Amino acid sequence: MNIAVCVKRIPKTAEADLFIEKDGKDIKKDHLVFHLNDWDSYAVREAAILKEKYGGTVTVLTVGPEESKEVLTRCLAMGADRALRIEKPISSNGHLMAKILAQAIKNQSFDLILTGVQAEDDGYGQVGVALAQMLGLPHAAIVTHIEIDGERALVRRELEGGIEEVLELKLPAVLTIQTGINEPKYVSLAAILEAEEKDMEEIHLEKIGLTPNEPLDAAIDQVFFPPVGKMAEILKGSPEEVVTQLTEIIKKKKG
Amino acid sequence: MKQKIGVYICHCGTNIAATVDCNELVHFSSTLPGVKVTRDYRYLCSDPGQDLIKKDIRELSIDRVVVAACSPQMHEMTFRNALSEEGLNPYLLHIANIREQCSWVHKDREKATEKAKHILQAAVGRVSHHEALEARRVKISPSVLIVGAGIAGIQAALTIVYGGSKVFLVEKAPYIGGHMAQLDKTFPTLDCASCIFTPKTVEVVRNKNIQLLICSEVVNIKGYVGNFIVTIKKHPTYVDPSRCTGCGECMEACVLKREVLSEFEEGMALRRAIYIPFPQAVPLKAVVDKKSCLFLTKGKCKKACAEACKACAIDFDQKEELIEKEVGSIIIATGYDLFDPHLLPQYGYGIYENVITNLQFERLASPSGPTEGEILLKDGTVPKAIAFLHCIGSRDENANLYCSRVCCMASMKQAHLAKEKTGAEIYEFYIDINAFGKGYQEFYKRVREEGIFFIRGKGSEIFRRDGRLVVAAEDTLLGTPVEIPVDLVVLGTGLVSRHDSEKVAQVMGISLSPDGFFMEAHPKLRPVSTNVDGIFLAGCCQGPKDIPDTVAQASAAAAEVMSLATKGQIEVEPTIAWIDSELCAGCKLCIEVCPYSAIEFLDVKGISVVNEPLCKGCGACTAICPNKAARQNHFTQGQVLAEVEGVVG
Amino acid sequence: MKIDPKTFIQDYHLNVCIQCGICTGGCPVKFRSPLNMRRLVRETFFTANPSLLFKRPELWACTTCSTCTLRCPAGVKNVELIVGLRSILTHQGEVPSTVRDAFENTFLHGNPWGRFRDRRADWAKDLGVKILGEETAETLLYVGCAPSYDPRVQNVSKALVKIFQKVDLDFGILGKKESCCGNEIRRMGEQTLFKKLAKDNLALFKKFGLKKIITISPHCFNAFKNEYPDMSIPVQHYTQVIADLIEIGRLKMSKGLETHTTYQDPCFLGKQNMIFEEPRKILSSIPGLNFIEMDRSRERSFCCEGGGGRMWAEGATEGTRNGEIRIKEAVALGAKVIATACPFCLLTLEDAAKISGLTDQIVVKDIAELVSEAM
Repeated sequence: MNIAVCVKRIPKTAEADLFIEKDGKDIKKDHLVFHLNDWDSYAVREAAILKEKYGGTVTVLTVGPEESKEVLTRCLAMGADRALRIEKPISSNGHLMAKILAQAIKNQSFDLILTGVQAEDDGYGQVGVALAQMLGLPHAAIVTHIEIDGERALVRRELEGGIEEVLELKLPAVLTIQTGINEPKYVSLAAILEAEEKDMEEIHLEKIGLTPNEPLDAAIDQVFFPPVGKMAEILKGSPEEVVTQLTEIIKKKKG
Repeated sequence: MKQKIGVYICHCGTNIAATVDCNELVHFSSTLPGVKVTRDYRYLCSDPGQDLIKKDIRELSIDRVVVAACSPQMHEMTFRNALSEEGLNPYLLHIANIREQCSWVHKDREKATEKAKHILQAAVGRVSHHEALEARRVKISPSVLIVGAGIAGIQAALTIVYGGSKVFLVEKAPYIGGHMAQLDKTFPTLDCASCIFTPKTVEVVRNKNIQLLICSEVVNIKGYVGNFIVTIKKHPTYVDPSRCTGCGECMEACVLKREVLSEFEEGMALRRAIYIPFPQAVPLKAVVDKKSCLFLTKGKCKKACAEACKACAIDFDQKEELIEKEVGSIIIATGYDLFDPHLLPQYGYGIYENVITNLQFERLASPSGPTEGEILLKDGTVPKAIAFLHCIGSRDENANLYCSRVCCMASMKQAHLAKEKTGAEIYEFYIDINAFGKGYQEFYKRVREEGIFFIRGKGSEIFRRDGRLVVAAEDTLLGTPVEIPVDLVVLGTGLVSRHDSEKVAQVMGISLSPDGFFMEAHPKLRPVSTNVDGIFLAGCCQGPKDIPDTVAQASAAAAEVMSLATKGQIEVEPTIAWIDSELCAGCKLCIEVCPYSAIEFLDVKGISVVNEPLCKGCGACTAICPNKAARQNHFTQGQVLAEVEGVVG
Repeated sequence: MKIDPKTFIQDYHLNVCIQCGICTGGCPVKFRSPLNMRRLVRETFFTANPSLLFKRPELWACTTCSTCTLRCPAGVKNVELIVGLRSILTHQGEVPSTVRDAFENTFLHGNPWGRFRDRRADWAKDLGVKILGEETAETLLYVGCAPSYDPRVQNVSKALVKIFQKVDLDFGILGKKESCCGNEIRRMGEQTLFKKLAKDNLALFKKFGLKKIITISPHCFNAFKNEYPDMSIPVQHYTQVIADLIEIGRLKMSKGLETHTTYQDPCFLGKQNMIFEEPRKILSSIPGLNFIEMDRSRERSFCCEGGGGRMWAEGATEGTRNGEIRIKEAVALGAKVIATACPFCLLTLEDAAKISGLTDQIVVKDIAELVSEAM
């Protein structure tokens, strides 16, 4: 079984100090910590598990700058056999990403293509589904369980309220992978250092019939901090002190 | 006259021949100057081997011999004797060591043979410079000094006096009997220690040929085997033993409020500044401890003891005495100290009053001890459970590596006594049971049959819970960790060398083994001799051992001493230094470097002279003399240079 | 960095083990988990296939308190065997998920809690503390991960700053540049990550020309003093510094703390590094403080189960935690305060006090907090 996994390198922002770029179209990322998108990590692990079960190879692809090689290294340490980095265009969105990946993938024969459900940073959730459409392949999104039976894949999809949908797809197919589908193994630093010795392939956009300046059908207009509300009151102090203040406020405002 | 050197090459089975080509060596030897005959043989030290040499001396008039074989330590004496038997001076022999220094330390046959050739060449060159020397004869004084009056010293003393010699028995403590006097019943027979050795201690005091010096120490020895001059320091006891009747009134009267921990009772009881160590002490005389006596330390005391003494035996004017004695041999029997369990804090010794050492338990069990033979806790109650922990301070990287040999048996004996006296639950926490001696394994079985619990697991720590002491360990045979609550913990503390052994070794000129005990000359074949002729060892000062082995060793040391005394004289190597009076400039450099103080300066003549009996032939003076006036027999310039040339040539 | 099970016998001196059981006998988790150190040594020694040993959850129960190694009469390196086995598991990725997260967080954010680097020095924001790189100082107060991020332990950091400022002790902190010391990382088996942390930290220390480092946690103290290669800068635990300051009369405490106080010797400070007297000296110098010694103190101190990765893994332990036993022991002694000098002891003992319902009878305080209150 030859499996392709599309992955993305994204910055972790939760508690970080954030600043807006001068052009107002993005946040400053130089000082942030980057890592492999959580959903993609599950996808790569799932591909490695499927490889263990059914044999074959796992290829990881990413569209990104030089720095993206570090997530490819991690994927190689997790069990991937091949890693491809496709040059990042100057500006992009989910639709363009899917287009680029489709161009890179279409001439290679994969039985299964996996992506994460969405990326932690922009959260569009588009790439996997758009990719399936562009490649003309069946797809299932938010997949929590995969079984392969010859030319078919039997998958479960996560719905609301704990309900699951069971689908049968004909391979090749595209699946977007939900977190929790498996228990990710720890990737030791030693394994990563070993993987750094392995080769990676690089693809320029021209080679797949595209340019670094591809037009976008939708682009970011502005990125800004939410305005500071006037009605917000910040309570300061130790947890005990804050609780005391809070109780006073609630009592005063009558519940 | 032209020399006729005989060269004999030993194969030593395969020890030499496997690595060194003996045939090639034979050929090489015949090319060396002065060599008349060369032979090789499988085992030269054997009778036929020696006969080869003897025959050549007789028939070929060989006048110098080189034996290429093992270390001279092994057989130099053997071959010297062979030469003597044929009337050839034994010092016209040289051993070329091609075993320990060649075949045993190299693997390459070609290179080893080449090296052997150099060694042989050196030996042949040297022996051609050898001179005939006569051994010195030294008279042996028949008196013996025995240092330490424990069971080892006592046994040795009695054996020697029965043989007819006189003994000076020096003991540091105010009583004789050492640690054995502290023991209750001994393993495996459960003989009462005091009962079995009191006849001996009484005889020691009674026998006119034993001069007993208690509260004394040896501070210096000079001389050499057969003629030692020892200086003994006799500490004042402030009691005249000829008057003291041992009544004990002085002890009662002593005003010392803050009593001192009794050494004999291992700190389990108190004593006054003036005291009799224990009621059965031999000699039964009071002594004053000058460190705690108020009069001696502060000058302020009404001396109630002197008042109470009806025999007027107390004499605060007593002074330290230095006594010199001349003896022929010395036996060191200074015994052992107990390992200090404070060094292993996990056992709570010194924190919990009911964690005690095995010697402290002996004092509890002893009818003359602080609890009159009852096994009691510090609060006076009888313990309901007792734990004995083995290997405390022994077989331990964090303490001492060696096994203390006696504590397994002592522990089991104590367990037996404790069971008998208290009926308590008894636990033995052990790693191995060292029941090696006669009747020991049988005793172990008996103790098991008495219902004592053996838990195979070394005690890890002691802590307190719910008012009781808890032993934390693992029952390794079941593979489960345990925490056993008990009331009394007896630590199987090991034996260590006495705290002053370094000082004693220095005074005596003997060495210490890596384990801290005195070093014997050879661990298997010469267990009571030391590296100093005439000084012997007996008992635990040489290494931990039980009473049977101590007594055996003491008798062995006595036998060695008696054989010297009977012979009356011994032969000592003539390979000593001498100073050419014509060349000596009187600079005294040799006197400075001599480690045996064997060189004297004659003011009248202004030259230095070697005191032959003291000289050990170390060569220091020979090396330092700027005039080459000091020389050494058997290590002359010519001999040594010839050897060097042979090695490098 | 490869750890090869075939060299375990040689590396950890397994063949000198005489199976005396002093290790298991003194192990703080001996009744709480199936971990049996003595048996593990023998099994490792005899096994032809070491990987059969690996999949045991109890391998993660070890707190690396080192009582076993310290007491072993034969010289077996017990704790290092556990670390060696964990290293193999780490390399294979077969670690509990919480340990995995601790490793990944340390790699990404410089601390096992996964808190952002930007927030590391927030606790010191308004305290007027020098940040090395912006200002200079020859002494570094190495704060550590728990004292930086955990709200409870931040009080200790603040107390220490107050003390040092009061006595005019010149020092700086690394602020956002500070990364985990790696002590627990190594003991959990991530050797490569530990090496990287050590290398990066040493470079940082060198860059700022430091003459001395003071740590808050005994774990960091242990790493710098004993496990960092080529560490030439002298390191002290803060209790040593404060004891010194009291000795030379520079630190004066005038407010009495009239309370019965006992002390938990942290394993990494006490039995592993033999620092027993300094904390006691500090406590007995606090006016009014009535110091009571616990029965199991000093070399016999009862491990709180915080070290060796236990803050992130349970290792199949069951039953009452050691912390609860310890709190009950302290209460039974009549102590109203249990003092300690380690962030992990502080956290585990406080949790234990809450679980045991004894928070009205005893409080857990760090020595720095007590000194700060008494100044």
